[in-house]
Amino acid sequence: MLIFIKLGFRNVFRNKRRSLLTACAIGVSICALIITDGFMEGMIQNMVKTATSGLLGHGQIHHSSYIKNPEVEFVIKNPKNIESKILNESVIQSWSRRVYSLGMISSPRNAINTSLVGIDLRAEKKTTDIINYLTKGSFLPSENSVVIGRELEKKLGVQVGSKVVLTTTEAKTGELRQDVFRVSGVISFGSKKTDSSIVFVQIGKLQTLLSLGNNYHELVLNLGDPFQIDDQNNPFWKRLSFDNNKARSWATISPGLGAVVDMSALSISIISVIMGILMGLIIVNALFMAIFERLFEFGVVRALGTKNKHLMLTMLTESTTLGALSALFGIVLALIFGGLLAYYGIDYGGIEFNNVTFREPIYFIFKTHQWIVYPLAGVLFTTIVGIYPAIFTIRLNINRALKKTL
Amino acid sequence: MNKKVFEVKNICKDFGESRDTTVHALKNVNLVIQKGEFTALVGPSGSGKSTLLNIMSGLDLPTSGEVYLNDRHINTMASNELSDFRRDHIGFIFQSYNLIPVLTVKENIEYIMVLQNISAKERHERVGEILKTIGLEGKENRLPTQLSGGQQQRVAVARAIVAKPDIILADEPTANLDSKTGGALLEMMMGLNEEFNKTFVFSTHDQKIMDKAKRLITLEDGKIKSDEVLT
Repeated sequence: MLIFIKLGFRNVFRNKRRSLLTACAIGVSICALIITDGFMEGMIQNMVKTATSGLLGHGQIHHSSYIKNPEVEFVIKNPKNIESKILNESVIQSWSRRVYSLGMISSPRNAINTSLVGIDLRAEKKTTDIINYLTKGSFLPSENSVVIGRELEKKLGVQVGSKVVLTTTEAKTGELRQDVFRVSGVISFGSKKTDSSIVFVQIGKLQTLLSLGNNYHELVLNLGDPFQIDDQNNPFWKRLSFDNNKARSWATISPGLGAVVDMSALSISIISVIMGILMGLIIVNALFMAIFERLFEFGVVRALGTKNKHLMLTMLTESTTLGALSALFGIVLALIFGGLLAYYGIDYGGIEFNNVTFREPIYFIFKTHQWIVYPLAGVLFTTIVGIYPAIFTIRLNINRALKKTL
Repeated sequence: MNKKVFEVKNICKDFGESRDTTVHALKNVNLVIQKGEFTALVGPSGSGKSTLLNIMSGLDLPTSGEVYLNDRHINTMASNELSDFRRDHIGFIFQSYNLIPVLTVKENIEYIMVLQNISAKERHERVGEILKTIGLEGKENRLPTQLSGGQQQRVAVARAIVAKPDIILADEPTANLDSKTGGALLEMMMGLNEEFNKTFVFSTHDQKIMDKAKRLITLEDGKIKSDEVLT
């Protein structure tokens, strides 16, 4: 058997230029798959990290009714129980309370509906990066300070230091409550929608305005790695869902973002199929050229008594060797390009996609599976595709092959 | 008494699909080849020499008639059976050497023995012996491209006889060789014929082979015109 494997292996190097060009073409396809995968991974990580480092966090806990109908009265039930439970979860690195309310912000020029967000600045700093989104001023230095979105700043015609009035309704009575605040800072998340409506105030101040006492609407969690427990079916989320409160991962809270992750897997599959078809055509073409070139030789080896299985083994060794060379070439090429992309990245800064604005370049992310799955799939695929030319040689008429005709 | 190796009975071979275009390449050819014969099939181009060789070897099927090798009717054999039979009983020498260029001299000669499932030890011994016989000792690890045309054709002969076939069919084996090299190859094949009683059937235009042949069969227009045993 070894002689047929040797024959198939050495046949690859008979026409070095053709084999090299074929290996290059297939290698480029494998490289493209690896690069696409790594870049998609980079894009997803960038998107998810950007989204989860902002208001979204890695997970959130709310009163179940608040999720369906975000009314002020639906505060987290038995918050002390939840907080003590959180302390037992080692995966939670930090957490922060938030209060939300709809309201109105008024300046001498304009009055605009807003989303008021009460935050615990010290805990928030440990849990999210929202402070890094501040573009002007400082982040809530005093009880009567607010941080407003950049679009809001323009619409209200205010600047850092200006006075504004916040109006909201009390949770229990529904009575209007208002207070005067000073703009301490301007923030921008890159999303026009968010920047046109968001107003941050200190949590205690908003709790007072809403007469919520120490109650709050949201617990935002920092799990270190957003992909660690992003599956909602993980028992972790069940453990934190009790007393009519529900804990959810970022992927569940922001299904659009989760869908992008799923979509990228689908995109890779589609690209893989297209590349697979291309690789198949390339390898079949190369093998058929080799067959036509060696037609007489096939006649000779058949005349000598070479059996179908031996021809099949020779041809499949040839296609597998070609596939392996291509995979090697693809890996080297992907290492070069992937390395460059991992170092320099591609700058999509400021571009918004699915309500997430990329803040830093997208880098190629190295993952073990990229260097195993795609090259191996390439080799396996070229081997399988090699069956067709192998069957062709098996069916060759010996006499015609010896006359070099089909 | 000589043993009959090959028998060809009433062989006809037609080419072409319609009655108007049909070419009768062989017409009622009858032939018996005895063991140890050194036979040359001669005749002008298109006389049917190569067609007859192809049919004798089972590479092509006759339109009618029967071919027997060692009293086995080869035309009725299934493809795989015929392939095995050919491997074990017929040696081929082609016009343009047709060694496998990526295999060494040793591997080219071994190839057919691998197909016969002969052990590595025996293969090694037989390759050593045959290389000595054809005068290519020490060249076993060379690739065919590193040999001259004559040397390559010697290896082709070695490949043909190493499997110990009953008959060796050679299609113009000296056609691509110069006169001196062709002569040397012919001497070698004659030696094999005389020393080991190997049966050779050539199709040839080479006068040297015709002169040395023990039997000369002349074909013309698909028929045997003459069949002479020479002394």
